[in-house]
Amino acid sequence: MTRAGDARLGAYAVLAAAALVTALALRRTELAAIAAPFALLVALGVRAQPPRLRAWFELDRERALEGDVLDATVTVRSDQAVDRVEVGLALPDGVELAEGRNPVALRLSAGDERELPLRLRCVRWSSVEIGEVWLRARDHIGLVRFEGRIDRRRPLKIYPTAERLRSLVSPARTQTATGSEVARLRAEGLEFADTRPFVPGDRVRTINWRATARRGSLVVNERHPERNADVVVFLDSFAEARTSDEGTLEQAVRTAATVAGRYLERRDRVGLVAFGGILRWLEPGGGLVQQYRLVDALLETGVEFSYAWKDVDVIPARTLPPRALVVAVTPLLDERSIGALLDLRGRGHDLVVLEISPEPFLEPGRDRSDLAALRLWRLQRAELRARFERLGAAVATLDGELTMEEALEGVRAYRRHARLVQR
Amino acid sequence: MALGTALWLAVVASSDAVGAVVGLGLAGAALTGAAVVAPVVLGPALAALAGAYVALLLIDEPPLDTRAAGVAMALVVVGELVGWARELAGATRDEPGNAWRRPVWIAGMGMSALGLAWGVLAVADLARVQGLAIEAVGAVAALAALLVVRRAAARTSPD
Repeated sequence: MTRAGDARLGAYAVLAAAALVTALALRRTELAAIAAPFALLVALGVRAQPPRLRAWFELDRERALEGDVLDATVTVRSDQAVDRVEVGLALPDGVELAEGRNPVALRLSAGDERELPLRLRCVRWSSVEIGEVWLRARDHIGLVRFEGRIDRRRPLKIYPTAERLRSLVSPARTQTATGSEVARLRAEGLEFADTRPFVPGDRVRTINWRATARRGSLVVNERHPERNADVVVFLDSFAEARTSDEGTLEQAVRTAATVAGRYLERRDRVGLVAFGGILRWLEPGGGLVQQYRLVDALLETGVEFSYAWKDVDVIPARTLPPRALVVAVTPLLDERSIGALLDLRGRGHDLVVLEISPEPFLEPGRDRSDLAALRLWRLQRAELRARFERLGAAVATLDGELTMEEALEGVRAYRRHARLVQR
Repeated sequence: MALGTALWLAVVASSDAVGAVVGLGLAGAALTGAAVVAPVVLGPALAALAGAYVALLLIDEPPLDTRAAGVAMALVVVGELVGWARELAGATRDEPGNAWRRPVWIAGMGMSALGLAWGVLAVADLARVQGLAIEAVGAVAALAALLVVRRAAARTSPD
């Protein structure tokens, strides 16, 4: 523990010395009488020895969702009596105190052990370490304090809360494995597609007997098979707009986690490309393990400042398999990510852009030039969205006014319309 | 408390000394208030309050002034109250049932300071008288000093 003197220690020492010198100079005993208690306090204060304190930290779990409340316990033990020890648990970003006293001042007897129950609320997704306990003890006089930190850190992963999402954007093309997505091609399946004349080799069970009776020749049913899809979540982490407590990146990660989780529930294979100052990727995969991998990778995502120009060529080819649906979650603020998305679309990838609108995080000025600049900026963004749509990539804007479900409905409508045009 | 000390000294000071005493006393009180926010000015604050008493001693020149014990007690209480105020201003709260200890401790320290200062004045008063009594007090003080040194040496021995 480090030792530090209180401000009073210096003040008392100076006063005692000055009073004694003045007493000698003026030959007044009264000043020596004034100096005596201060000199005694300083003498007792500097003799103080650091107390032997130990502390432990326990947390009821290591994984939680945003909004969850965790039970934590800080235990402090002292081998000797301490008049006042301040105990505090350092709370990392994303965790706040829901219930309990932190920091708190205790009085401990020799051999005393005290448990401090705390309830901590996870307010923001993050991957943090929690358990750094700081202690500040003081002697009985209170002129010297001893400070120390006890490292009992353990990892805590706070997963983003998934938004309710009943239906997703269907990919234009599916893969070969069985899944929940009704494929456009015709093969063995459940969904009725069309009828056609019987050809040798057709199975008898596919014959549509009513149509056959009407037409007088054998007619068989064609069906759409249920297949899975490859989905790549493209998370833009080049830039963000933020206020002190919330930003586009937080919302982007929540959106990405929601989308990835829902596709995985449908037995699709989901991959991740976190495209930013640091490139992170995860090849498409399925199942619960992949879901944990994805969320862990998302929790590591942050905005790392970089001047380096990056395009899609830096993304490993296996991360973007052919016929994969690319769901880009982006605030559309950085030219590099915009360029990469346009490039992906240009290379024929099925692209959907979920725009995390930075507008709620802006504080535009009130004078005319500021408002004109804001209108111009909005026009530029509208033009950018129109550019994506001209290229066949639907853009859904998540600005807090619409739920993700409502925003995705616009994308689905656009893609239905685009499909009709294609035909 | 600092203001009260300044006013008390101003009341007991003669008309010649009252100006200096009030000036230094009020400066001390103001600095004490500032010390709650900036603890570095606690030393000057206490020095200014003590300076008010020094001005009184210099101008009025009383014989042996027993009010020094009261001044010592007031200064100790002022210093401790500043420390307590700073603790209360911090984020740390005492656990329930412990909040009363600090004012009791401060009151005890004030009384101890009063007793100690009064003891020093009493010894000084004896020294003025001279004779066998002061010799006895000197002998007791020397013995006490020896005992303190012996005890301190025993505590710091390696075993």
